[in-house]
Amino acid sequence: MARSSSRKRRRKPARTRKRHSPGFLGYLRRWWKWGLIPLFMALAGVTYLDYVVRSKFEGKKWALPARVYARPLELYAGLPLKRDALIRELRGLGYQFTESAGRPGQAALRGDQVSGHSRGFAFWDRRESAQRFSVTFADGVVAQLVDGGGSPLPIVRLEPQEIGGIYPAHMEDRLLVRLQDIPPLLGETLIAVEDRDFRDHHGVSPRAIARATLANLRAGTVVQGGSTLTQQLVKNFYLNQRRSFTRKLLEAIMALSLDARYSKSEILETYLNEVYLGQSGSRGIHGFALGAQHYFRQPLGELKLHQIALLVGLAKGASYYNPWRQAARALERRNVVLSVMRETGLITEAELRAASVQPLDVVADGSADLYGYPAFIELVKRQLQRDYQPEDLRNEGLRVFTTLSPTVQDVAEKSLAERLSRLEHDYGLEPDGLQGAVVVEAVGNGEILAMVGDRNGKYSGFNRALDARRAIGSLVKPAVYLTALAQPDKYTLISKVEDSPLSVIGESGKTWEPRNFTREAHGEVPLYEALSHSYNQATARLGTDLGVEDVLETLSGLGLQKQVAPLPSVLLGAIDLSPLEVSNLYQTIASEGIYTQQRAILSVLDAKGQPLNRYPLTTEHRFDADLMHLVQYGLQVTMRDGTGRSAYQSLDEAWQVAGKTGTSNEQRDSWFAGYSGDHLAVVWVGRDDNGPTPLTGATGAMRVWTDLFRQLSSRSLSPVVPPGVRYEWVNPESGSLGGSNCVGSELIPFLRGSEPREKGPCDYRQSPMVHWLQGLWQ
Amino acid sequence: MSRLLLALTICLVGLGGCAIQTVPDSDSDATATPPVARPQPPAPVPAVHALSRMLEECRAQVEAQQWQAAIASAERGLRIDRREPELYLLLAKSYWGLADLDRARQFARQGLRYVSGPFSPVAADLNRLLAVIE
Repeated sequence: MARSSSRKRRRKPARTRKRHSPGFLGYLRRWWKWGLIPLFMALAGVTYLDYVVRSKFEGKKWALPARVYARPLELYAGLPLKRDALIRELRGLGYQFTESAGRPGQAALRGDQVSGHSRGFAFWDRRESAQRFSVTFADGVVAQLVDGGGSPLPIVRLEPQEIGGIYPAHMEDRLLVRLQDIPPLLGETLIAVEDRDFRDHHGVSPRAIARATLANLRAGTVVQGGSTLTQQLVKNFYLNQRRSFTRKLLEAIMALSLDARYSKSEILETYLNEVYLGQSGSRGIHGFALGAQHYFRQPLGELKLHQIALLVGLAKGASYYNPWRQAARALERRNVVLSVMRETGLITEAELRAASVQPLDVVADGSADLYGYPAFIELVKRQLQRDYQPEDLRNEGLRVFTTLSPTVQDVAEKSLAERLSRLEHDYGLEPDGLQGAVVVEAVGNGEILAMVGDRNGKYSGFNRALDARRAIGSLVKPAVYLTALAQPDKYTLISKVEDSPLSVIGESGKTWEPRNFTREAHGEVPLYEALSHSYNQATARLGTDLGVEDVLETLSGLGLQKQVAPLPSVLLGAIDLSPLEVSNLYQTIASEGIYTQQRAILSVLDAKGQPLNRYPLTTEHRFDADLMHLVQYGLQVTMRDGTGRSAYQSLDEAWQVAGKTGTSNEQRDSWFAGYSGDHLAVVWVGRDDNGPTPLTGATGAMRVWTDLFRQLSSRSLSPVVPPGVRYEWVNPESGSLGGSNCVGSELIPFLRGSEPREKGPCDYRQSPMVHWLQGLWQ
Repeated sequence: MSRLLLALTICLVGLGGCAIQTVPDSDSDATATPPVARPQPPAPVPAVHALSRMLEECRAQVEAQQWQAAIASAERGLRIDRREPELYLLLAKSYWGLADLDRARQFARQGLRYVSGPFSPVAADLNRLLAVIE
């Protein structure tokens, strides 16, 4: 009881206190714990934003990409090279055409002579110094190469064109530069134009905001932004382009965080590499180094004052000031930047006047495609991933030297695109219904010189040269004849084979009844004729006699790497291969039986110039040169008298080439594989939906091939007759020896010992005596 | 010229001798015969200077046992003329120096395909190297 009354007594004063106002401090004392919650939330938010800023910035800042280079052009007397091709190559390297070519990166044209001043370059094997050179041409060949003083030069290796940048670890394309490699004038101009207080503010500039607000109030609309470079970087990196208070707040917090964490140099370097400067197809042009290549095809270090001003001006709005579409607007913007440069003392009055009257100086529209070789770059990426450990690829500043020839690539792209359009027009096909792919290799070393994976060579999607595996049709036939000719006691080029209907029962019990393309049978024909005219029934009969397994073994020797079921239809090309895989097979034929590993990469160097790996020439003897000579003969006859003969409607008659047409069932695939002395190219034409086309190998793919080879600087095929081969005048009809003066005789190669011995009758073409005397004079 | 004199002599001695030639002339000089009897292209300007330079450099590098440099030079040379047997010899020596016997053997054999004759100095060197490797 007593306890209870005492509790009541104690409560009274408390009730009394409640009636009085507690005061500010009282509330603070009571509620301060609740106030911590938003504080913690704000802190957590800022910490999170700081984390986001750091993680993304680090990822961008430290990863310099692997720089990918094309093959360097080597000039020497005797090189098949057209004058126009050299000019294109120099333009691709960003050479400025001047009167005298007095400085590195300049070239001059004088009559038939092309002069240049190379820039010098550190290659994988040594450094080449900058050098003056002059080239004269005769009949599509370099006739003379001299230095600046007119003395003969044995060889000049030009610097290679940079064709892309890869972050090998995650395979993005970029072209980044370090701050020290950026011309100081560019950095200063950017600061002068975009953020004059850059060195002083902490990520956000109240002074700039006040200035912008005043300007906007005066104008009654938004005419000026108050964003610092740091804020712009934050906006590009992390935020959307929407204008809202929340976004502005986040932008400011993140900019403060960025400024606190990183030095001004780091922020500027990242900005210079990240700023959006335009569009090349589907790819955004980010960064000034890439911008310089995109608009001027020049390295940053070679830009002139008016070019720097244009690039900096574009940072404000690359689409709005697009120098191709909005030239007047771009010019005006550039001149505004030049005025700011003068105003801030970066340039003199004379420099301002001189630069203001310069044209925009951008390369022609359409020639500005950067990373213009997506199909080839894709191949490079795959080879890098195949041959390197991921940790090797994470090294900064790798340099990748590739085999791409930009001039061959350009011609290949153009040949495919133009020919497909013409075919669609000529055959009344739906526009853009046809697709195609091209692979060009150097004969003898397996270096991939060009790769086109789409009729639009700049398209970076599905790469048909690598990934479209289609039935190769008659392209398989050389393997059948090679298998036969490897048995010289049974087969020579004039051995007869029956071209008539046949049916073969396969292992599954299905009957296979191949037919000729023309639906006609030709009776007994010599082997070389069956190959050159691509007779299906003769080939199927021959292949069946030889055995499908043996033919597959030959294909494997040529370079086929996939497992194929030994079905009879394989003999007529029911094997799905990509153009690159087909090219591998034909390289072995073109290289006289030497298998050569294809390569798109020559060497990879780390940032210190040390080789990470070399991709050496790798060859292997697979077939005797004697044997391959006979097959090559058959492929030359194909081009002269067989299914490929229409190629000579546009090729020089004196030019020797070898090749094979291929057409799959219902003309779904049109193929051609052929080579000269220097180049091998495989072309596929068809539809993505695998639908039928009106094209054969000769009327589709071969036309692309012919267009390509007509423009290439390439030597004629000049096979060396191996000691084990003997040419004989024979009558293929009778199979007996004939003579150069005998009607129906042809000069055919045989493996020594397999040539016919029996002489046949000779129906003279001309008086034997006249013929004999003529022979003496020849 | 000697063949011409011989022909004239034969014709002077008796035209009949020429007229009875019924045997088809078989090819006795196979290496001079084009595989497909068609007009020949104009002879290209030989790239002798460039090739000589690459050979010189490569020989010096092999001498100095700079194997990787020699391989790079040999490959450059082969881009100029892929049938130059001495470049294969130098490649083979370089790989031999690097103890890559498979490649050394392969290039030595490949070089023998392109020698001008079995008794040429390069052929002899290639054979010697092959004998050492094998």
